[in-house]
Parts: sequence; C-alpha cells; structure tokens
Amino acid sequence: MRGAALVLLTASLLLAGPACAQAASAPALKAQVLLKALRFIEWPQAALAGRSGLQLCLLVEGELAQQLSGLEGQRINQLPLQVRQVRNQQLAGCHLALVGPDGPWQAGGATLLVTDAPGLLDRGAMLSLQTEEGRVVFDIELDAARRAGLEISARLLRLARFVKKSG
Amino acid sequence: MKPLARCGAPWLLLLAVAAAQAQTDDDGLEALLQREVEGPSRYAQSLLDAPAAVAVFSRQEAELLGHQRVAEMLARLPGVHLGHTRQYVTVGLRGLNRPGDYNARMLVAIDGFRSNDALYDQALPDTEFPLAAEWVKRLELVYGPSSSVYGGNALLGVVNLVTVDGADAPGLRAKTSLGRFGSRRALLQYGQADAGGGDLFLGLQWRKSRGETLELPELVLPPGQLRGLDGLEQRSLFAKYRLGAWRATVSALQRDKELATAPYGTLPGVPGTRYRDRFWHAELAYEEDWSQALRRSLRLGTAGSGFDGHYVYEGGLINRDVARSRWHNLDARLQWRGWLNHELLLGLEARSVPQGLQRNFDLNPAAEYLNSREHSHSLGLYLQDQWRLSPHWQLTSGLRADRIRSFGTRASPRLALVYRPRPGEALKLMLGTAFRAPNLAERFYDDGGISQQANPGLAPERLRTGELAWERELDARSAFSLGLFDTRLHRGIEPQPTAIEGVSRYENAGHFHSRGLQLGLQQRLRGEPQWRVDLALLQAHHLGQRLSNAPRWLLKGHWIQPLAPLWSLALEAQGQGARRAGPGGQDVGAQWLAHAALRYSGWPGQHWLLRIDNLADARHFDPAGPENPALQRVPQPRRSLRLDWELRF
Repeated sequence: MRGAALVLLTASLLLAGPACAQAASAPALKAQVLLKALRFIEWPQAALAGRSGLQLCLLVEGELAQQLSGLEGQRINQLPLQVRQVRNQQLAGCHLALVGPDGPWQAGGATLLVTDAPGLLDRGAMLSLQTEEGRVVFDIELDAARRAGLEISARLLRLARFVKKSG
Repeated sequence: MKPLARCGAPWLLLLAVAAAQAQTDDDGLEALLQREVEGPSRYAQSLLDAPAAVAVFSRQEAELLGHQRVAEMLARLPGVHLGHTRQYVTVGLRGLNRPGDYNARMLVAIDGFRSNDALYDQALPDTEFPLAAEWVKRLELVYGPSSSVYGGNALLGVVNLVTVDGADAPGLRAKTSLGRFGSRRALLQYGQADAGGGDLFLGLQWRKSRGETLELPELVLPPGQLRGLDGLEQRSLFAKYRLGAWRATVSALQRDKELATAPYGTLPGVPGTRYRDRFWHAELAYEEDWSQALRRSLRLGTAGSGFDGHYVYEGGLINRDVARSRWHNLDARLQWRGWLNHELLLGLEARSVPQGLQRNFDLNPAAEYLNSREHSHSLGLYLQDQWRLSPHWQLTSGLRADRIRSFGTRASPRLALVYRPRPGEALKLMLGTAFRAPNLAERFYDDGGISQQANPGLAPERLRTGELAWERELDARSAFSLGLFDTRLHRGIEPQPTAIEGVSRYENAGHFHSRGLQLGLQQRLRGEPQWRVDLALLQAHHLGQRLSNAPRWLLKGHWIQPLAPLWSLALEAQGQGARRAGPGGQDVGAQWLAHAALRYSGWPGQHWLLRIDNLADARHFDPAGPENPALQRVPQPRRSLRLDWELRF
C-alpha cells in the first residue's frame, strides 16, 4: 500500500502537469498531496496510544481548511482522520494541525504543523505546501519535526522541494 | 513528460497537481505547460528553475501564424537573426553570424538527440531540416553555453525541438499548400495513442518550388535570364513510436536546391549548378521513470548526412563536391536524488564518426583535387548538481570533460545561481564556458585553389559567457523577461584570406566580444489575443572593430487575434539594425519585415489558412558572404502569398 501511495505521490508531484487538472483547484490538490504524504510520517507510539483516529486540527479557515475538512474519515495507515476546528492556538491532542501566520502555536506534543502560508518554516511549521509553475510542491522542516518526535520517511523527503535541516 | 502519465489515468487526473491558476480554463493551463523545458539540463524542469535563460515557442502559436518550417519558429525568438544566402539559411544569435559558416556555433537537437552533422557540425533549421513546424510541439532556445551537459559546439545556444506525440495530434491529417513562385507543399501525418500505452506519430512532407526570378545586377545578365534557377525540392519524413519507457525515432530528409547566384565563380545564368543535401537519423531511447531515488536513461543513435554540389564552370567544365558522414552516439544518464536538496545528473556520451568523406573533382576532363577520408571520436563525461539551498535559492553547478581525438581533453564548467523571490519569478546569474573543436570541413576541405585551403592544425575555439536574467510571470497569462549577457569567443575559427585571391583558409584568428540586453513581454492565452514583443540591443566586436553581419538591434513581435469564433488573424513583424559587410560585400541598412496569416476553421475537420510573407514586398538584402563572390549583396525573399488547406480525419 505504501509503495502504491508513493507511486501516486511521486506521479502527482513529478509527472502530472496541470493539463488535466482543471477539475481540481489548487487547495483540493494540496489536500490530496497532504493525504498521501501523511502515509510516510510516523507518530510516536505514545501519541497514538488509546486514540481512535488521527486528529487533524484546523487553526485557520480558508479553502485548504475546507478541503481538509472533507478528508474526515480517510484512513492513514489504518487510522481514520478526524478533523476539528481549534481555537486559541491550543494544539493538545492534535496529530497534525493546519496553521496560519498567526502564532505562536502551543504544540508541545507530537503535532505535525502544516501550512500553506509562505515563510512559516522559520517559525516552526514543519510541512509547507506551495504551488510553483502549475505544481504543488512542499518544503519540510526536518529538525522541528524530529524534535516533535515525528519520523519522516526518506522517500518522502526525496520528493520535497526543499528540506530544511541543520547539520 | 509521458502522455499516459499526464492524462491517461483517472487517479492521476484526480491527483494531478495544479497551480492556483488551475481554476482558469484549459487554455490557460495549456499556456502554463510551456513553462517546462528539457533543453538546459537534458531533463524536464521548470523554466524558472533552469540554469539558463530559455525562450520557448509552441506549436499552437506556430499553427496560428501559419509556420511550416522550424526556421520560422526560431526567427520569432529574441536575439535570433536569420539570413539567406540563396543556398542555405544562416542562423545568427546575439550578433554572431559569421560569413561562410551557416550555423556552426549552435547545437540543434531533436528530442535531445544532437542533430548537428559530423562534417560541418551544424544543423540548419529551414528546408535543410527534416522536421516540419507541424511536428514540433515546442521549440526551446537555451541561451548561452551549454557545453557542460552537451559537449562541443553548444556555444551561443542550444535549440531543442520537442516533437509531437501521437496523442498531441491524433488521427490522420492531410495538408496541401499552393503559393507564389510555383510553390507546392503536401504534408501527411498520422498520430495514435493506444490503450496499451503505445504512441505512434508519423509524418511525411514534400515541397517543391520554382523559386523567384532573382535580380542580380552584379552578374550582368539579360532580364529574366535567372528564371527557374532558384528552384527547390524537399522531401522529409519523421516517425516516432513510444511504448512505456522505450522510444524509437527516425527522421530523413532530401533537399535539392538550384543555385542562381553563381556561387564559387560558377557560370552565371545557366542551369545545372545545384546542391543536394541529405540527412537521416535513427534513435532508440530508454528513459525510465523515477524508482526510489534513481532514474536511468540510455540512448543509442545513428545518423548520416550527405552533400552533393554540382557546379557548372566556363567551357562546360563540371566540378563536383561530395561529402558524406556517418556517426553513432551513445548517451547514458543517471539522475539521482539520494542527497536531500540535491538533484544529480551523471552522464556519459560517446560519439564516433567512422568516416567523414570529402571529395572534390572535375568531370570532362577528369581531375581530382580532394579525397579526404577522416574519422573522429569523442567521449564525454558530465556531472551536474542542482542544489536547493533554501525554498528561494538554488545553485546549479556542472562540469563536463570531453576527450576528442586529436585535441585532448577539454573541460566545460557551468555555474548558475537562481533566486526565486516568489512563485512565477526568477533571477538568475549564470557563468559558463563552451568549446568547439574545428570540424572536418574546416580542417581538411581543399578544392585545389578555388575557394579553400586545408588547415589540419586548427585548434578548438573557446567561449566564455556571463549572463543575468530576470523572468517574471505578471499574471496567469503574461510574462516578462530581461537578460544581460557578455560573451567572449577566443581563438575563433574564421576564414582568412590567403596569398591567392578568392581562396581562404580557416585560422584561429577570431576574438569576438558580444554583449547585449534582451527584453521580452508576452501574453499566451488561447482564445484571447496572444502577443509577444522582444527587443535585443547588441554590440558585437572583433578586436575592437564592429563585427560584420551583426545588427545592433532586433525588434520583433507577433499578434494573434481571434476574430469571429472560427477566424483568427495573425501578424508578425521584425526589424533589425544596419549591418556591415565582410570583405567584398556591401553594407545593408536597417530592415523591417512583416507577415500575416488569416485562418478559418469553420467547416468540420478543415482548416484554411492564407499566409502572406513579406507583406509590404520590401526589397531586403543580406551582405554577400564568401560563397557568393560574384555578388555584393544577396536579395532576400520577396512577397509571396500561400493558401493552405488542412483536412483532419
């Protein structure tokens, strides 16, 4: 399954031009790319223990948030995605969160901070989805993800436009 | 990009990654597709990330403008100045268009296959080229030296022609054209993409023209004496079949040209002085998709070229010039993404020319002046690294080492720093060098004192360029570009006069310096006016003197206006500054040229197009080069009207 997902993600990122993509908007495609990318991210056992699903928290509104809401129930490595709105930047219990420029975010735990606002990798965001010449590309802040206890597969890293990593 | 991957599978359709502009119509997306190029790095990449300034011209634009030849597409791009010797078209770029060499400092590739021949190391884009404009999906002009990935002769630029797949032009199409000067053309093509993943494209082309009746006062002939002496006949074919990672391609051309300009001292005003050119190539390529961090490709190619010159001299003497070359190519490449933020390309290219034959002889009475059979081999190893320093910065560095028989090893480095301040914008700084080994014709051609002496001791010439480019997409449909360049060519191979009048010899005597500015603005959305304006300001010098045949400015543009739903009108215009002539030639003033095309697609499966070349019937000239010693200037094509009828089944 993971291999197939990688093929799909690779194809999405590398091969699929925009020629046939008119049916889907950029936020919809970002949501699809994120969904595939999540299969290559591992959360610590403690963060998943006793949880019935993968918590996706939305701190911002907008088209991408709407698209992500539509992913409710999708399974990521056997766990269904559970989407909820969050206020006050409180991210306790969130496995991943869509964040915007308004921070700081009080993550603390193993929360993958996802954004489509530019320039947030320097402020703690871990996965940044952007568009570039008709393609969705993503950047990864690897150190921040590791500090949060997240393991990101090397195969996913290879597909990133840019991986920020010290040392 | 493989058609199946692009459009074939529903899951890809669902997942296909789009820009914010994805919500606009198909045509906007189609325009955006032009932002991917394969020429600069020999793999597909974003135009804005590419380590070179690139201009792209698409089939859609060519179709609406009524282009039939690759040269017409190339002429639309900034910095290009084509000429016509009435034997061949000559290609100038950024002020360098040297007399006697038609396109010797540019590399032309068909889907990445080097199509420069093995004797003259050149490929000419007009009727000398096997591909019709209809078979070119995208013409990419990569400015500046690209020897770091292509090896020798990628000096001023590389033209990469990305050919159409069957899926791009499905079904059978027949096109006929009739025009002034007795010109006729028939084109037949067939495209098919089958469900099993196979993709076939076949194209055939035939063209014949009586040609103009030239007025050449220097030849002192009665009026009309040159009637019928400028004829042309061209036949060509192109075929491509893809299946999965495999691709096989074949092209072939034969071109016959009657010569009216009394080249090389031949008898003026009589028929029989003519050229025949041939070219063919076949290539088998295996290009796999990414698997893990690796992507492999292997290409095997073989090609041949032929030239037959038939010259009629005083007293019924016939002189023949015969040249034949064969060459084989092997190109193996590995792309690797094993290191984070790096994309590495490692390539090995071998080229063998088992025989380059050049003969020159007289018939009646028989006499042989030249019978040269030379061979040449080269091996190139290249490495390129595209390193993302941050989401906004990337550094591309490349180095290629070429070992060439008789010339030792040459290294060609490249460095390009690209800054992407925001999506759709790039600032690039590029430094690179390139080389060209003297070709077999420059080294060994010797026609017994008629035009050229051999010089086997020639050394390679070397070019160095620094370039700045700023490219910006203003919105989903328009883009702006600005470029500054500084190019120096050292030990340039140039024909030099000898003690015998009219006879030259190639020497490493050129030290050219060309610098300039290119400015471009374009809008590329189908269904709306599409237009493009380009300005190039150029300064080309040789040892402090202004270079001959080098315009100081070029201004060109086109406008494609949809009229009613089924009509479109296209206008193209170009101007170039005055040019100084070389020895024996006559200077020419600034020139303006305009063409127009009216297209109607009203009847099912049919397209009609009326094209007028040289709308104002302007009388333009090129300074005469050494091939036309009897002339001071060469008249350029006059107004011609042509009607095309295309049937699609």
